[in-house]
Amino acid sequence: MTLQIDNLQFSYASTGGFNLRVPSLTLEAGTTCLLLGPSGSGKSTFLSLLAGVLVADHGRVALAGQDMSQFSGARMDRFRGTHIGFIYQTLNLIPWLSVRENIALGLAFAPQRRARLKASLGDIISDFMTRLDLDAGALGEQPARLLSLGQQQRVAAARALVGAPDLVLADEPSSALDDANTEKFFDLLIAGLDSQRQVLLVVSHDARLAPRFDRVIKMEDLTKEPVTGGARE
Amino acid sequence: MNAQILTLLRGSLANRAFSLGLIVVTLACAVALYVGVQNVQRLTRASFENSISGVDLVVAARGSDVQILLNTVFGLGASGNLVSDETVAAVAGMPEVAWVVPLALGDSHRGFRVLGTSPEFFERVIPSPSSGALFAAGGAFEQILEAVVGADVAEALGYMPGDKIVLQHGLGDYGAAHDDLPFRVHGVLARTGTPFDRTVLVSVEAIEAIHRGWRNGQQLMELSPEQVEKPKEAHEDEHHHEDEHHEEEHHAEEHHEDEHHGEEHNDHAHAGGLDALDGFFVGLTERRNVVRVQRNIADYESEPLTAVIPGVTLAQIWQIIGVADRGFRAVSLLVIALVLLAMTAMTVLSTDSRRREMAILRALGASPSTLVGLILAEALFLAICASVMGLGLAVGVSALAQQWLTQTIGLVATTMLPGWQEMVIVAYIIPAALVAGLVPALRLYRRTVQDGIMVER
Repeated sequence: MTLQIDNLQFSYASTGGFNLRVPSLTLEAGTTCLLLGPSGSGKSTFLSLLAGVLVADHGRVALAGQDMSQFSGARMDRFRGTHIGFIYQTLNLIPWLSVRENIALGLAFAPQRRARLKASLGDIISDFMTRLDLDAGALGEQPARLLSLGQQQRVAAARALVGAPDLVLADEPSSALDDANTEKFFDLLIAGLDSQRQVLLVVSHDARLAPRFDRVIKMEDLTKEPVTGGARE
Repeated sequence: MNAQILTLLRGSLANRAFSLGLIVVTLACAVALYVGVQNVQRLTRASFENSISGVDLVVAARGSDVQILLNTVFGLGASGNLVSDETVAAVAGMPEVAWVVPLALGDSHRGFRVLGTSPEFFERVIPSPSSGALFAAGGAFEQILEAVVGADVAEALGYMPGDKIVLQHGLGDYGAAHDDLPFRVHGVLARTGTPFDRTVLVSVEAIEAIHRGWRNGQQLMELSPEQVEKPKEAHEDEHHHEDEHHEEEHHAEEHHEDEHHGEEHNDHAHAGGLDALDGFFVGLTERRNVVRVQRNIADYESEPLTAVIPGVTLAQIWQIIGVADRGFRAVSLLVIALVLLAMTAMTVLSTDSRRREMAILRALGASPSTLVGLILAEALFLAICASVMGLGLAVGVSALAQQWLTQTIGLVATTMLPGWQEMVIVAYIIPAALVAGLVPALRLYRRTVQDGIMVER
């Protein structure tokens, strides 16, 4: 589903200086996009705005035609659970829950996403684990904290993908991984997407990731001028 | 609530099982303490209010109900006027009256009061024990110079049947000793939970006998046990009880009393010749007549009398002396409150360390109010666990301590286990735990709204 941003403006009331302005951004369904920028450039703020945790002062953020900026807090939380998957830099998982329980948590607050499942939850989790090169038999019941960092990030990817949310957001998801694990993570994450429907937006400072994505946008370009076409790599 | 959220809740609790277990055990102990205190209080009160459950009326010279009971049952305060033999006989002769048991007070033994009465006292007055015998050792007094001691007396002074004891004139330590006529302990009462645990019981005849040769608290002549054991012969030349009337009157009453020898229950009381009592207990053939008999006694013309219905007045006295118990109860409530406060503190600490977890759940679509709900659900769960465990503990400990409670509190209750009236506390603990959980929950709410889905580490 298409992600569309128009004239988004946000400033932190308390911290005084920092503000963010995104004149325009459109990501069509099935697009994978890398947003490049150094830390402190407003990437996290932008992600929080897209996830609906921060509320824009002005402008419009629409996913699948629904304007998130109009939603109340509780409705936004429900919308996020249903339509958005999220992957952190690290420490994505609840350490004392098993791998399977962590993945299932992706559906805990999203009844519609759960309703979309076409097979039993157990089978779907096994399927995602296999697709993300996680041994469903050996690792499924392990507490998440026992897994390696690379494995943990792939579990996080599985959790973000389960139930096929319209938008998957990832905040520096490979920053804690070595090169081999980074490669594997993105290969499997992108392969796990529904290329007809889902939008993937990854925020990173690492330009080496660029070749994997349909679109690469620099943070300064995003905030300066209208980006509609974008540069395809 | 769906399966994933339940899993989350269960996992979160299991993850902190040790610290949560400690707080649950602590709260359970506090609950058990409260229930235990309440239970002991209830048993003590029941035991107290049943002190003379066999008695329908307590009769003494006109006075206040509380004062009369305090004096006759608890041995506190001074006696009012005495009640003459004639009056006792008249009341005993009323058609509704089944029996009377005389009460003669005023002496003591090493700080414990002495009560002169009749052997019927043991059958009629003391509540019949639900388990075991009324006498822990020996039996009722039979000879004049025999005594029965209450459980506290026996315990404090180490008395067993056969021991010799000397009574003292008056209630203080300064009274002169009746050491010319030592008594032999003939029975030790099992604990009854009544004031009689702290009483030395002798016959009215014995009270009369030891006061022969006394006047106004002064001993005028000594007697030997041999003289006393034949009361009728010795009696003729003796002086009288300190409080009593003239010789002439006394003789008159003696004769009068002789005429009533046929009376079944009361003749025993005056057989020794004590012609005035501090009061007497009355039992009716039918308890429902109690108010009428009470009024008839109050209207008795020869002497001004008051008849007290013990249950009501004992409840009034409990209101006064039950203050200490209420204080104990307040302390145990305070303990519960402190434990809940500790639970709050612990939850605050744990939610502070769970910010990351909360941010993840927020990113997954949990609203701040859902997270608050999770915290409150935890508090609820802990409170339920602690309550169930606490009640179990209270019942278990009471069951184990039943023997000890019986010996400590007395014989009245059929069971020493806590009942529903004590367990009602749980109905307050659960909402209290929710309130205690509200503090960390609201803090968490504020925090998660600030943090959003990002936690700076």
